[in-house]
Amino acid sequence: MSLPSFSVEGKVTIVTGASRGIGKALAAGFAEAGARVALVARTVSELEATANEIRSKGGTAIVVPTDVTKPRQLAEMTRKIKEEFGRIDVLLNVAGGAGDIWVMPPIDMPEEHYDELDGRNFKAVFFCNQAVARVMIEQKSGSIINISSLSGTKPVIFEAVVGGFKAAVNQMTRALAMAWGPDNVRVNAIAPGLTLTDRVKKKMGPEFIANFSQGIPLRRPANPEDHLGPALFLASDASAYITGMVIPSDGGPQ
Amino acid sequence: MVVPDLNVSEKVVIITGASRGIGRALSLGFAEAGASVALAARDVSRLNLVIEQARASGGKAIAVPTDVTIASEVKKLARTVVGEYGRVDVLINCAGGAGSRPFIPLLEMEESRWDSVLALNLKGVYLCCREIGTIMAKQRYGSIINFSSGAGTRPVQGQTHYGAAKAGVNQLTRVLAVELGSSNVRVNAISPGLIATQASRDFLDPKLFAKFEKAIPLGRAGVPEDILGTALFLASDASSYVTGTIIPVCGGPE
Repeated sequence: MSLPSFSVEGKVTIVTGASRGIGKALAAGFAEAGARVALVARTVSELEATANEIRSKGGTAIVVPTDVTKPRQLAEMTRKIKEEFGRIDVLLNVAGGAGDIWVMPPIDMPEEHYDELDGRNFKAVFFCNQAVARVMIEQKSGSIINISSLSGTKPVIFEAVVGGFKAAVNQMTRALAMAWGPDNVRVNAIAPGLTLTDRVKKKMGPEFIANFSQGIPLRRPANPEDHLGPALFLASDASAYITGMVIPSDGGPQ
Repeated sequence: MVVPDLNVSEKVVIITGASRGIGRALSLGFAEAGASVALAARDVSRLNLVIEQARASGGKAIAVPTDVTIASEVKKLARTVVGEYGRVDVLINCAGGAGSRPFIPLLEMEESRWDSVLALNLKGVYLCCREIGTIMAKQRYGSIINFSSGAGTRPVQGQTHYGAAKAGVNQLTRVLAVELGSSNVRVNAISPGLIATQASRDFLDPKLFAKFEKAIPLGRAGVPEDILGTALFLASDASSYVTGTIIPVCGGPE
């Protein structure tokens, strides 16, 4: 029997939301593992900083500033990356989250916030999947990984709306897996639990984080790097027969 | 950042149901990946053949003839492995199956058939988890991988016994993940779809096999390497924040 390969060496990998948090960690990890990464986010300066860090360690990275909530920009992003590298092997859809409107009782949620959350967490994910899958279907190979959230399955009071969109991403992932499976394009998701990004640390504070951790079976929050193992697994040929799966990376059932 | 790898070369791995099918494939795969394996099954002569093959690839392997439905034999398995290797890092509960008549309507099901399928598929998992889990909790380290089946979530006619046992394995997996999380012992399950082994080829007529393959989004039956990839992921530290999850390796949602 030949041992399955977990290598992502040389694989062209798009990372959206690459300027900070989980996206930045995954981009750096994939580059270190030998992938050629295309970094996507709105802010050029933050992307350039990540790209320079990657290049200083001998990795390959390009920067493609994109507003992922605009389908036309996603099509343009895809075209540029294909042109640069000739193919696209992996899409890591990390852009999303509740951003600055995170902690808000649902009773106070105004329509513009709702629309913003929809744009970032659902609409952007679908059109990014669609734009990149067009290339992957033509290649007859590709692995798409959507970053969902624990809030898509566990009810979180302040994340009623984001959690709703994340649940929708889970179901979209399963249906797209069925749609594109015959063309050998796999679509899976990772659902992180509480993850200590800079933003989370600042917003939640040590007391909340310690309390929340008591309810996690493994008794600790995640670091962004904890999601790298599942992402490498889903990107590599070792998961060639897995599609339509949402892998919780959350320290256990909560 | 340290890129997680799928290295299991330092790990002590117990595999039940090791004499045939997926259990045999995993035994050879883990041995080839450099793990020290302890192989358990009832059929000693078949088990010894697997041991010979595992050693031929340079792996360290011992045979521990075991009936996993008998508590005293499972205790002996745990004792033997700790005596030989000093610890246990990974337990793969592969022993199982639907017996000599896998499809039988409930109204025609003899009590003895029900009891034996439940014993092999559910009680055996409980006993192995209890004995090996005790060792792992003391070590404050370990990964348990149970084998489930699509029959545990999807109604398969004629498999009330097997389906109920596998649904039981799923919930045992989730609850035990919560119970052992604070001891840093992870518990996950793999739910294989149609896997092309000698047994499944013998068991299904070629027309039916082809019909099943057509309904799979990825358009093919799985191969033992597909299961090995997921098992290596769950056994390794690349999945150190993943516990209590059931991963279908089935080519996509149907």
